[in-house]
Amino acid sequence: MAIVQALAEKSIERVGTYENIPDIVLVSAQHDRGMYLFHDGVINRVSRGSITGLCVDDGKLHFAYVSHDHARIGQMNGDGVTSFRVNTEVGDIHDIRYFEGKFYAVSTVTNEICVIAEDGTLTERLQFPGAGDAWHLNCLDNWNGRLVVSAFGEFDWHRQWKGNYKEQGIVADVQTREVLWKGLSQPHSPKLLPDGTKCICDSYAQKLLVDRDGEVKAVEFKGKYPRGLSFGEQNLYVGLSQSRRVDMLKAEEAKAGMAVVDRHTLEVKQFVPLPVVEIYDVLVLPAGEKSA
Amino acid sequence: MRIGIISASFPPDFGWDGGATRAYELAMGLKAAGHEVEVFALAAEIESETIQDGMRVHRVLVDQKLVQLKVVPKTTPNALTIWSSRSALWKACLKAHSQRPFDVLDIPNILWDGLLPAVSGLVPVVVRLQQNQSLYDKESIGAKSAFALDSELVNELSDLTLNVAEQIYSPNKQLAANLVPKNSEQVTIVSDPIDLDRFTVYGSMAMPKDSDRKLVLVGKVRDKAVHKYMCDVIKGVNQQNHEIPFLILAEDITSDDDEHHAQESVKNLLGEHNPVIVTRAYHQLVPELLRSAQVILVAPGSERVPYSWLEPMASQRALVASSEGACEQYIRAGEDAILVKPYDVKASIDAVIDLSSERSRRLKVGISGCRTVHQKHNRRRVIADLESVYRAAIDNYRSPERAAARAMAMHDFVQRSEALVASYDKMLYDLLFVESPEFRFRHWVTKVSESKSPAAPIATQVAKMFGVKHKNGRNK
Repeated sequence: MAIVQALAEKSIERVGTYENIPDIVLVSAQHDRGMYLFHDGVINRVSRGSITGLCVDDGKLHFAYVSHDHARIGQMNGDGVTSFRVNTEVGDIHDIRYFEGKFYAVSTVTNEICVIAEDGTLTERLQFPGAGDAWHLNCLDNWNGRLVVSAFGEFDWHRQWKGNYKEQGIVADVQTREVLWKGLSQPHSPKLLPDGTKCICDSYAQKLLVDRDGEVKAVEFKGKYPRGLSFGEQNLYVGLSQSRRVDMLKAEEAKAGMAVVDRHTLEVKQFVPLPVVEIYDVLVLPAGEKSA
Repeated sequence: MRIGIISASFPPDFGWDGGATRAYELAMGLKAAGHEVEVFALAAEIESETIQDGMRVHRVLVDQKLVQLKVVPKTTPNALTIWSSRSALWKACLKAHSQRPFDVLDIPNILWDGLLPAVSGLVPVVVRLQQNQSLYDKESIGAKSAFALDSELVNELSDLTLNVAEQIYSPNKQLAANLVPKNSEQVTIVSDPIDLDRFTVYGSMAMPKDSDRKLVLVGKVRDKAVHKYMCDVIKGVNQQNHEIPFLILAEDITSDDDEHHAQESVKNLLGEHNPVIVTRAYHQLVPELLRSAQVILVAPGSERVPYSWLEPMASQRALVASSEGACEQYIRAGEDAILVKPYDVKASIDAVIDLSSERSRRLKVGISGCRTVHQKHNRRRVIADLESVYRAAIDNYRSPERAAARAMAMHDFVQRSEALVASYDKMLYDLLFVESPEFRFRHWVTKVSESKSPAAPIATQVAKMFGVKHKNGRNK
């Protein structure tokens, strides 16, 4: 059974339908809203929990939970069986990624990127300068063989980035710490497309930035907080959250959702609302994914 | 050794309160000493068997069948919850034991966690005494409460666990004398362990050096009384010394939203331009946050006690703490820390100002506290003490004397079942009295007819008319 089928069978509730989205998309959300699967014209909520980063590797779906005091990363195989990696030395895991055969996780609270084995032990720790949550390291991507991470800025102290959001954000090489993109405001979800185009959610500036051979174009999402980005043959899929600090009492009125953007013209084709306040990640699932 | 630890709370599910932190420190310490450790704990959401930090952790959910019954949970809520949760823990432990037997089981927190393993006699069980073992005050509960049976049951379960456990250890002598008065000399004193490689004066700080005159306040900010106390202390200190920035380390905040709300609520009380930062007590960051301070004030009701005291002391920071609970068994007042009465704002302000302005005094208190923690709570040393306790438990376990002692403990328990039945009778009577008007009518008619009141003959006639055949409870 493929991972998509396994997810579909875990449906908790059907939240809506959609049209004209050729890809199978998985969206993770915070505040215990779990994950939403866009598949066969139907949107199903397929899990509970507050979930951040998503990745698929070797027929398995990996998903990180929001937990400030530990790392808890789920791993679901094609049969729908889930196991967990748990570690208490790191925490507030924002993103996860397989890179060169190792499983990397961003431990935002300890300002590091670590390699976590299946038994939850840390086999490598790449510590960034600064104490505590200094840089607010968040999302990972593979840029032509370089593991890159987005961060709120190169700060020294725990949460020094608070109030210093504007144009301090960067995308940096994890190994060399070379800054590859700067002048961003609370950036998330760096993505390299197969044609060499680089994209990033410039979240605080409410924009999706698309860099084609050095020419940067912006897609604006006024009043939204873009975070979570994935792509298919034709489209870019962008998670759009409510602006930060939305009153949770008004969560029922939340209008977060996913924007579908034409990959070539950058025209926003449609917005699919979801019953969530904050989206963290968006992932296009390989349709033919087979179980390991 | 292959060691099983049974602790209903184990981090990170349900957070890092004092008991959970103790179980964690113990498990990590035993693992570091080369033992094979498996942990059995309750699950917050999902039942699982995971490898956490290199240890196998079994998490079980409470069996809801009993808890969802209609009447019994109203009368014995705690006994029922304890029974349901601990039987689930024991089931998981038994399964693991049958696959690969444990050499010993350690019960580092609540005695009931060890009841079923100890009664089973399958494996040597070692229990640790705790300050508040009972949910009820034995003296006051008996006569008046509808929870008499619950109280009796809970206390019996605790006593039985103590009686059948192979070895008992306690963090101090006083507790041993209070809880095991007949055999207190048999109780081994083993302090609470702390990882001194993490909590040390050396290492990075999470806050800027230029504000290292910082006062860190540790406590539950969502508790209104604690919140007010912290803000009053900040106001008072700020009035006398404007150069001290403040950091509130909130033990009961687990999300960005809660952190934001706490920050806003402090702002409302202290004004827009107050020098206070509120942050979650990130487990991984606590050492760096504590090192950022000169003085640390632990508010009353801290849920991380005793670790909220031991961690600043280990980090060689001057501590101001509330004199509550067993604090004097961990801290020498005036030497290792300054102790103030709970919620005494003036004394707290004076202590903070005193320590902030006098460097030598601050250093003296910090060094003394640090030395005490190193002498008593060093994880390696504590684990060595525990290993002796385990070895003694394993050696004694198979002796005929111990087998006889276990049988006697069970015999005593059965003997004391009379008290349980009496409590059950009283509980049923109280319940019927509250729930049934007819029962109350019968009760009062009988009461008057049995009295010396002039109305007694009339009440007797009424009783005959209505066919009341009733016997009142002793206490009504």
